[in-house]
Amino acid sequence: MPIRIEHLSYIYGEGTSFEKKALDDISLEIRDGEFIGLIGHTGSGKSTLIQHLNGLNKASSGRILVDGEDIRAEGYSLKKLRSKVGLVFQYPEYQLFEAEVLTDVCFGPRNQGLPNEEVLVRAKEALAAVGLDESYYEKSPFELSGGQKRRVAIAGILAMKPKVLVLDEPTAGMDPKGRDEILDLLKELHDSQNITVILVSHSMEDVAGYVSRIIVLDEGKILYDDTPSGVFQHVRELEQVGLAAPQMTYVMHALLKDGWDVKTEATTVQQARDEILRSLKKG
Amino acid sequence: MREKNRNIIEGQGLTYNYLHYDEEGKVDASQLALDHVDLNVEAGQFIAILGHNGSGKSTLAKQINALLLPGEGTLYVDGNDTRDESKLWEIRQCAGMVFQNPDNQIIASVVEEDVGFGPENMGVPTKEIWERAEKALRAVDMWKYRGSSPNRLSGGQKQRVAIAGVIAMKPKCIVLDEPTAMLDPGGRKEVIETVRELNRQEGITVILITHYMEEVIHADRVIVMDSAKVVMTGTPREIFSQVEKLRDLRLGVPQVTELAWELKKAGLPIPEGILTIEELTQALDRVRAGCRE
Repeated sequence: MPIRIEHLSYIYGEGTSFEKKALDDISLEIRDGEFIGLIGHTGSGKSTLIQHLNGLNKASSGRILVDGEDIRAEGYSLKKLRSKVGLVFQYPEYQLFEAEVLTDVCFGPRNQGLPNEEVLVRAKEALAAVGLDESYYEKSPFELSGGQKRRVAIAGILAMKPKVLVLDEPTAGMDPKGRDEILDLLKELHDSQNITVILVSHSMEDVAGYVSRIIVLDEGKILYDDTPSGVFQHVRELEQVGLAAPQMTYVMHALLKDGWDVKTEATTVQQARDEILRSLKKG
Repeated sequence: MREKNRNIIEGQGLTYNYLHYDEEGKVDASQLALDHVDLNVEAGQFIAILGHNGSGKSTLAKQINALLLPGEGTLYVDGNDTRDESKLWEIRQCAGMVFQNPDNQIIASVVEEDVGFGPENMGVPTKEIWERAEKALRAVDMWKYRGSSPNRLSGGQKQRVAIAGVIAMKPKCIVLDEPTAMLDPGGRKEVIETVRELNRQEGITVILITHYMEEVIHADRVIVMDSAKVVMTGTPREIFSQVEKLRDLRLGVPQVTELAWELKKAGLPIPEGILTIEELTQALDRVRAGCRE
């Protein structure tokens, strides 16, 4: 289910003195099964963009085609769209509201109008996918740790069986292990269920370690759209727009400056290690 | 006699339980969040507290400005017992807090007025309020935004305004509970540099809670919490030399430290506890020079 964004622009408060162009002529193609990182400083338009993908925002101009269909065409069901494109907001655990975990996860598929048995099957599958077994079904979300709550919230979206999963900073406020667990979970969902994942993140290290394509937004425009090593070569430009490169990229650049014969493409610890060892072996 | 002035914060045997009540108002469950924690901080130090979610960090932080009071044990802030209600204002003025989400901490519609809110509440005369607000905004490098609306600022800028709001109350100590968790890389850098600057230039004691390991490498001392207890304490180098132990505690090390550790494991003679890119490249340059001899 590819998503095609054509010349999308969005203006907040159009016609008022607070008018602000949040998205400015964005064109993108998101192919099936991609794992994409969306980065940009606060206010660069990331959240506005992802809210267009499931029809929460309506473009001021341009259009979005999901599976070839214009999502704003007359008669297009936004409800159907929202079950195809699942959006996990920042701090999604604040949105848990049922007394029991399983009931909370059932909410989405039940709203889709599915029969009861199907709703339960899906909710249980979704909880299994995020690593929560039946011992959690009857627990109150409030008894869970922050990381577990966030998993429940993600399960609530997965239970609607989206083909595309969009997450707005899913690791914000989590400890390092919790961050790894959530990111590993996304990778697992991506690899085993072939779900397209779009990850909005402020952590360059997280993005570098997991995604295969990075889209950089600045002032509502696409600044770069490339592989992680391609994007992170633009260290100075990224810093100018409030971002950075992963620490490993800085290490490789520092070694190059010291006269080492190294490539500077490494963005993860493993890649940096391998490149340094390779360079030393070569002498 | 107790020496009250040496340590700005002196906590002995701090214990705190969160209580859950049933429908009849009886306690039906309790959760131990602090378990006999000692915390001594010298004035002017930069202390970092690490620990996984739920390890007790924030509970400890809230004790320092008496948002929570010790169930057992004692806590003196600048010589004042936090359980002494008559000292509450002094304690809160002495130890200011900055929280994770800047949007929850800014209340006024103009930056300068927001910073003036604290001193105004303390009954500071109007003229002095503006003087303090100016000094505080200059200290966090936000003076040129004094007339702006806070909702027009970036996350990092808002957080600096929140810090200015605390500084305007002339605290001796600032406690920051994950101040960078919601910020982009540029914002994180701004906030951490601002905090370090306040510590070095103004001598303000800093207690920084964070999940970003790179942010604590310049601290004087790192405290690691787990299951309501302090489990490690030392300099950043001492702490980050223990890569595997930190992983067991659901934490990590800065990526550059991890790379140094991986290279050492691969057989390169690299010292333990590398904290910065410069340290690593210097160590690697020596290795390379050795290879060529």
